[in-house]
Amino acid sequence: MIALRDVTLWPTGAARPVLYRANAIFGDRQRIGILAPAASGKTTIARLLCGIERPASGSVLSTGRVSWPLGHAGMLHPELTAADNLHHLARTIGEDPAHYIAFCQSFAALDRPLSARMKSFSPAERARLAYAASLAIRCDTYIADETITVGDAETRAKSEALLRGRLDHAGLIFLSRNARQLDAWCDHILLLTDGMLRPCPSAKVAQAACDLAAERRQNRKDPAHV
Amino acid sequence: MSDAAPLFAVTYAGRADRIAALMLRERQSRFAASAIGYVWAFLTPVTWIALVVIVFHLLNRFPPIHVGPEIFVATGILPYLVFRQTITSMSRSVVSARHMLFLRPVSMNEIMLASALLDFINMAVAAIVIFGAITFLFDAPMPATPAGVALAMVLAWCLGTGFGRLAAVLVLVSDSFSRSIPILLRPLFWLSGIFYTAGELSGALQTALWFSPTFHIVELLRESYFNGYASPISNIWYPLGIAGGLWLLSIPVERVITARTASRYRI
Repeated sequence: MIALRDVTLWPTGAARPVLYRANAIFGDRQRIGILAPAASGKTTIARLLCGIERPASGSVLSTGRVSWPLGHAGMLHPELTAADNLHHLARTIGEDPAHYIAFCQSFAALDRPLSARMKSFSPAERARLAYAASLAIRCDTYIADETITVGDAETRAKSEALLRGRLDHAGLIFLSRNARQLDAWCDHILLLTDGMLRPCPSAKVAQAACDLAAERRQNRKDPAHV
Repeated sequence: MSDAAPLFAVTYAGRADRIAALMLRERQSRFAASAIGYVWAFLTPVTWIALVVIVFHLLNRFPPIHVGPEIFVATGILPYLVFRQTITSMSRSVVSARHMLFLRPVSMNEIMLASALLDFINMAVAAIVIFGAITFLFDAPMPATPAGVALAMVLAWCLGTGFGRLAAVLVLVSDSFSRSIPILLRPLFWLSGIFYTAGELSGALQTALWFSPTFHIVELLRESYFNGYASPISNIWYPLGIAGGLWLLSIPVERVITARTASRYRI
């Protein structure tokens, strides 16, 4: 469970806050989608939910293990081998390295051996490995920042099956600007607008509200457009 | 896939395990792009010592203490490099390992600590190997008080850690500061007594250089290494106070930076 209480999130230099006195509760095993337009601060909110970003005011309470954003590959050092990278991840989070590496290798189905340096892998292989690494651990809440599955059609089906299996026992917070994907994955939808998280009956409705808000902003900027 | 995939029990690494894992990652990644890898950690001080000894020979200069130039220079270079290397490593690690913060509860503090502890181990190994090799190859004296030598090396590391922590958090905010660290620290190379001792300096110069914390450390090390050598600039508390002061100063600075999300690096 993750709870936001009166959270204001205002990155230095930003013209307006990403969140302004926002309140929300992401309950256990709930699948909550946050529809947010481009450049509205999705990644900043994902970092807040992961516990990396701190709010300017308000508080974030979380219980249980929260994943890092699905498929995030920043931890994979390009100069280290894939095996070393996975070994360090496993040890840092307290998993058994042998099982962790075996799981990732099985899912990612890499063309190169794990003894190859990370920088020698193709972007697609790197994405598969990073995705496997984020789902190889059992979490209470998974965070997805735009990326929910990876790869070609076959890998996407495999990713989806794996994630759905994990979500039998865990919650999901999915930040995206893709209403169709949010509807496919989430039971509850929130719309990020004006720094607030507003509940919406469906992602379709949220998308309509989002489009309307964008149109009004455009009209305010350019009255001749009306 | 989901049926066959093994599900692991939720486990968390303890703080010591996390720091050990971060140290291992740091050790492998620090020189990963180089063919000779970690040998660089020991090649750097050896090269510096060799260069300064060659300059001593070219200038026909003899150490003011009755010992060979190799061990005299080594007692100056090693603590200085430990101090300098710890600052560099900590400043780089907060940038290069910042994505490890996603592996909660890993913190910036743990990343910096892992980097500093790795330098502590490197320092101990380098000191034993280099002092040992000079003793063996150049018939240099053994340390008169090994515990005092170890204490001085630890002091150099503490000073590097204090300065390094402050530098690391400021590097996250300012590129100008990041680039100016080597320039700011360059004078200390000349002000640390690597080439001379405090006894050789005039009264005014001695008074001025008293404020160089690394000079105290080098002289403390030489007092413990060379039997009968005593220096007027060898206060243990001065460098320790500066190390502690810088460390404490870095804590509110880090809080301000974190609260304002002022880091220029996107995680």
